[in-house]
Amino acid sequence: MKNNKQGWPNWIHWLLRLLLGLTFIWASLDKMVNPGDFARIIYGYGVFPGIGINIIAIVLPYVEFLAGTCLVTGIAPRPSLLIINGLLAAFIFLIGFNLFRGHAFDCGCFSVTDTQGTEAAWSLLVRDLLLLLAGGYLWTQFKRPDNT
Amino acid sequence: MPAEAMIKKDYYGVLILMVIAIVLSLGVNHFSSSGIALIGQWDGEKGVVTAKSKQDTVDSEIEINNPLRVRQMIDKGEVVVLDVRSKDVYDAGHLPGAFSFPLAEFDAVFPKLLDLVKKDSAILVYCSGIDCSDSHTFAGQLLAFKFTQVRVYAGGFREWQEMGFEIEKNEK
Repeated sequence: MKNNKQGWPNWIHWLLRLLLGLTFIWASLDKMVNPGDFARIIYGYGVFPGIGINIIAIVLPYVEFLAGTCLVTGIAPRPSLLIINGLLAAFIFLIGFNLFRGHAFDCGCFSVTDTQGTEAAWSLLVRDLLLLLAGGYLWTQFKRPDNT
Repeated sequence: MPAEAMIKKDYYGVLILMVIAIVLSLGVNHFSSSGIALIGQWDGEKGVVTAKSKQDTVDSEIEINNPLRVRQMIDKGEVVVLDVRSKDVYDAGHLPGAFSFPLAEFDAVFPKLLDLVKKDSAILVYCSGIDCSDSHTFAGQLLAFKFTQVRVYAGGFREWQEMGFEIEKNEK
């Protein structure tokens, strides 16, 4: 079996791509169908101005879906991974910020109905950090400018 | 490929994906039956917050957004108060004299409501708070059944509690 430049088997690379891509696709589906409920969850985070809440609720699920799909299929993998890593960093900041200030909120990460309370926020934070770690590792595996 | 060219390519790639996502999402939202307005009502001072979706049940015209006025109405017995949260939550604490009519059990509890009130009775519906539209959904169904004096307490139980007003509990 072929190894990548760090000596890890290539299937780990593909497994992480599938994990990240499918996670984002899965996370987007319910939000695409129920933008109104997702908007209410965004409002619950208590950080966004009212004028931008609906736009975020409409657009964000499609950004997640498109980036996830592109990462899995290999169409524009670097831009899609950049978007995914950027979103993960933003989610980590938002969850961490609300934990820090003790603000109760529902994640709305995968479903707009299966909302979770503050007690689950720490596990969400850890999960997103692990996903970002995977995204960071993948970024090092894509073709680098100095290797071309 | 030189580093600068690749960074530029990544930048344009991100830009193109974002433009596709924006155009696609706005298009689908426009034609979808569950689509929402581009700007919602997220000012709690103005009443129950809402994304203003095409299926929206929130009607600001029937809201009372003044806890003092609500307390006055309850103290004077001017209204029949309906709590549309779940029974467990109702038992843990509710507005004085409120009856439990959970929205999720509307079909089951509706006959009991007909025993309690007339179609021209003054009814005040509430749920958990400013971010809850269940009271509006319930009120909308009552209005559809030709009840004529249905109002919604926008602040709901959370505001009532924050005001320090009397709360009734059902002992288990």
